[in-house]
Amino acid sequence: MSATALELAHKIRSKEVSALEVMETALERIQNTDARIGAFLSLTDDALSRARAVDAALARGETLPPLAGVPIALKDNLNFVGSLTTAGSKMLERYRSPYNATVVGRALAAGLIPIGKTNLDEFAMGSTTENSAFQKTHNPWDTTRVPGGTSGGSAAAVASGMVPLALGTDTGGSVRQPAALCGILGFKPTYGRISRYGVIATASSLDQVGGMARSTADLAALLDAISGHDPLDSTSLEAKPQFTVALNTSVSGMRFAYIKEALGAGNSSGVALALERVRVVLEGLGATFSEVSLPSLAYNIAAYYIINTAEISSNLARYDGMVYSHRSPAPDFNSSMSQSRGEGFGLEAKRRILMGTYALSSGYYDAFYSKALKVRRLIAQDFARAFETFDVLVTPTSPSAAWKFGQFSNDPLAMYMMDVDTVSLNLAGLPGLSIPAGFELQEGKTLPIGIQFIAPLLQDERLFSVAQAFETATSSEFLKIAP
Amino acid sequence: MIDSSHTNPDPINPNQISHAQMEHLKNLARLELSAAETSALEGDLNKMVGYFQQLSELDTTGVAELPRPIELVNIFRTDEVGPMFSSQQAMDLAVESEDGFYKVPRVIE
Repeated sequence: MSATALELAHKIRSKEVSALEVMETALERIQNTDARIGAFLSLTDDALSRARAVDAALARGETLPPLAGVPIALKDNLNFVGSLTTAGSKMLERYRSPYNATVVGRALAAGLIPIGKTNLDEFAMGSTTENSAFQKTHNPWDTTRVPGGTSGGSAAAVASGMVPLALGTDTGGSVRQPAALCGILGFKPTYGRISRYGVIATASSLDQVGGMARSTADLAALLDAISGHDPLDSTSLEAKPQFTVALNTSVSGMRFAYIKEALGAGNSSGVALALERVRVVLEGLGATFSEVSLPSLAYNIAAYYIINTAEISSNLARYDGMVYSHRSPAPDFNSSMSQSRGEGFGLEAKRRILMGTYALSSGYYDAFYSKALKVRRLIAQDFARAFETFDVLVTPTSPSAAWKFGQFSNDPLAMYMMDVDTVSLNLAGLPGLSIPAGFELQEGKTLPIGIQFIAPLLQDERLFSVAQAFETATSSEFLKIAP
Repeated sequence: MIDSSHTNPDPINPNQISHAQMEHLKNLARLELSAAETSALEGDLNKMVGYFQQLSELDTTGVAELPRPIELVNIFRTDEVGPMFSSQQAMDLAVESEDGFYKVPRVIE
């Protein structure tokens, strides 16, 4: 499955290969690879019949939708009719979706075929996918390391060539960071560009659906299929972006700036080299590079984790064991609810629920939650000021390449610090694209490095012009399937 | 310290969350924890709260809260009946049901 999604769609349409053959090849790849990677929590039971339907439609001479027959992986917090949708939690171990998320419905309408549901940190809380209640996902570049998170299953599935495309969700970097750690492209749009209807909520003012792919054109085609207004999501924006159209826009004259606060000594040497490489490549294409300071970013982890946990404590209140989630068989209502939640949630979920409860509780609301929302505005204002002078801002996606399992398991705060480059975009609602831009050798293993490009609100497409220009100029050198 | 526009009943200090307060939070969140979990999470929460206090260094006088990144107001849609899953499909997800109703533990004695 080394072909891109667009190549596969073309081959299917021109009858060079059948959709059924494509699907069988993908399933075989999963069969042979996923035992050592652990990307999928479940496989879809109707993928082959959907593929046959594509072939039948083609044989009847019907016009196929743009991505007909191409397999896609769905993060297991996206509702897809009939599939188990666990959110990586025991709480929803037996929950089968009765409806489609809007993004899933749109992916189906574009001809994409969901092949399976991918592993994630429980309710999308974490940075390594280690918080899944069910299994570990291994980084395809070195299986002793994490794939990143929370969309670690989706990233590993794309990076190891099981599927060309995947959907994830990004609350504080959960699409961009695993994409970086697995060596693929990962995009989080402007807040409101993609519907959240049918997406299991983590932190509603931060959550956005995002896409992952191994080519910029594939990612643009996926985003064209799923973005745009949805009346079922009241935070969804009216204007429909045009991603594929943006691929041909030149970066000549584009003004780039590194964010000074993200260039610290905390970055690994491979990250520093990749930051330098994107400058050299893009300057060679006529872009300019500077540096800009956003002083409030020093506070982004604190502000983010207060808002994140506050919203989580509120969103996860619905899992009470009464209607459809895990229920503990205690005789009375209150102990049943407390025990159901105690048994159903993992440690990180409990940590964040309690932290959020504290930040919202009487007497502490002003000092924590309200204060964090004010700092959030300062951060958004710092970005807006920088974008008065620059078109695109540049940071690492993660301070380092993928790390080992368990490295931060005794220090949750140190783990949160690893999100330092990504969370500010969710606070400010900005679009961000992580592009593979280098490799770093560690213990004899080659590990990919991602660089994050940030555009102003609603200028999502600009990032695709940048990614395509970089991909072409470097002959896709950094877009390899993991060995 | 927290800027003067905020008033709290208790001063904020690094070991803010006491055992008693931890029990209160568990109750508010309807979350049963083992003794080991309670003790570990109490330590984690105190570290986090200690870290979060850096926000008090920033002067936010006159800064309005930003609860959502895109400040939309009053989004309406027409109230039309559309396709939805059936009540039977919803009931199929029930932990326990009887005669087409959800069955839950007794709430009122």
